[in-house]
Amino acid sequence: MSETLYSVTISKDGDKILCLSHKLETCTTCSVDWAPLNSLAISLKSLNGDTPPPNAHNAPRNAQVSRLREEGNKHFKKNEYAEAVRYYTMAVELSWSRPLWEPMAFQFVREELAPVLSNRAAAYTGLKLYVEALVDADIVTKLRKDWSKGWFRKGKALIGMKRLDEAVAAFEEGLEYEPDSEELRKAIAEVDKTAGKNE
Amino acid sequence: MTSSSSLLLPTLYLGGCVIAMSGTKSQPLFGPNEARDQYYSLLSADKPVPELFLKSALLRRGMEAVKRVSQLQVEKQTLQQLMRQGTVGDSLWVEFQIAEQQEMAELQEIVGEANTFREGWGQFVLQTAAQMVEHEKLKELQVEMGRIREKEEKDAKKREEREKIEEEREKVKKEKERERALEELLKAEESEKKKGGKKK
Repeated sequence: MSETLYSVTISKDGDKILCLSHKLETCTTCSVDWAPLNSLAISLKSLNGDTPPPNAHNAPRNAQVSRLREEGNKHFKKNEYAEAVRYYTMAVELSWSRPLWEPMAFQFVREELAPVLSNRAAAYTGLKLYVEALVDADIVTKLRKDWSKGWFRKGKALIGMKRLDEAVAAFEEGLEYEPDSEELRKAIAEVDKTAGKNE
Repeated sequence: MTSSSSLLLPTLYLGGCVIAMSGTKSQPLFGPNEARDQYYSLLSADKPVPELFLKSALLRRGMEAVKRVSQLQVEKQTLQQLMRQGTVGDSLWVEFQIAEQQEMAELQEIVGEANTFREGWGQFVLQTAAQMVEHEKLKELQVEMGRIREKEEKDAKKREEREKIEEEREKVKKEKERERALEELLKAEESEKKKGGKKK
C-alpha cells in the first residue's frame, strides 16, 4: 500500500495537528481532516496516549450513572415527571460523555442508555411531551431491538399523538421479538377498544 | 430473519463492488485509507510530533483496519455464495483475496507499530480499536437522535396546523348548517303564520 503524505504543523497551544499550508484542522484544499484525531488525542492527553487494557474496569462512572437513574426513578414513582426527566437526562449525558477509548464503554453505554431512555420516554409521556417521548423510545428500539419495552414506549408515545395505526405497528413489531409480552398484547387490545368506540 | 433476507443486503452492497471491480481492472475494494495516511504523515513529519498524536493516530488507524476486516468478512460469505451460483468469475475472487491479505498485513503492521511505543501494547491495541468502533456507533446515535427529533417536531407542527384548519372548516360548516336550519325554521314559522292568518 502506498501512502499519501500530508504536511503538518502543530497549533500554538500544542493541542492540535493542523495542515502546514493553511494552518487548518479541517482543510478542504489539502483534503484532510485532522479533527477526529485531535479530539481523540485531547481525550488521551492525561494518559499521554496510553490506553488502559480493554478489560480494565472503570466503575465510578457506572455507579454515577446508575445513581442518577435511581434518583430519577424515585421522582417518577411520585409522579414528579419533570424532576425525573432532569435526572434521567443527566444520566444519559454522563453515559454518552465517556471517552471513545474507555474500556468496555461500548457495552456499558448500551446497557445504561436503554433503560434510562426508556424511563425518560415514560416520564415525557407523563408530561404529555409526546415528541420527546417518541424520540427516546425510538432510540431504545435501536439500542435493543429485541427488548419489548422500547416498542411499548414508542407505541404509547404514538397513541399520545393520536397516531394509532403507527402505535399498533410498533406494538406488533415488539411482539415479533417478544411474542409472550403481556404488556404489548394488552396495549394492542386497548387501542382496538378505543378505536371501536370512536367508530 | 430468514437466511435469504439476511443475505439480500450484503448482496446488494457487494453488487456495487462487483460492478466497480469488474468494470475497471484494478479498482481497489476500499477507498483511500486516510487514517493510515495520517499516521505515516505524522511519523515522517519534518519536526517530530509528540507521541500522544502518534499513538492516537495509530488507534484511529486500528479502527479503520477493524472496520475493513469486518466488512470483508461479511462480503466474503456473499461472494462465496455468488461464486457457487456462478454469478461472478474467479478473477473477482482473486482480487478479493488480495484485499483480504492486505488487510491482514495491515493488522500485523499495527500490532508491530504499537509495540514500538509501549511494550505489550500490540497485544491489545486491536481489541481496544474494535471496542472504539462499537462505541463510536453508539455515539453516532446521539447525532441521529437530534435528527429524529428535528423531523418529528416538524411533522408534529404540520399535523397540528392541519388539525387547526380542519377544525376551522368544521366550525364554518356547522355555522352554515345552523344558519340554514334557522332559516328553515323561520320559513316554516312564516308559512304557519300565513296559514293561521287565512284561517282567521
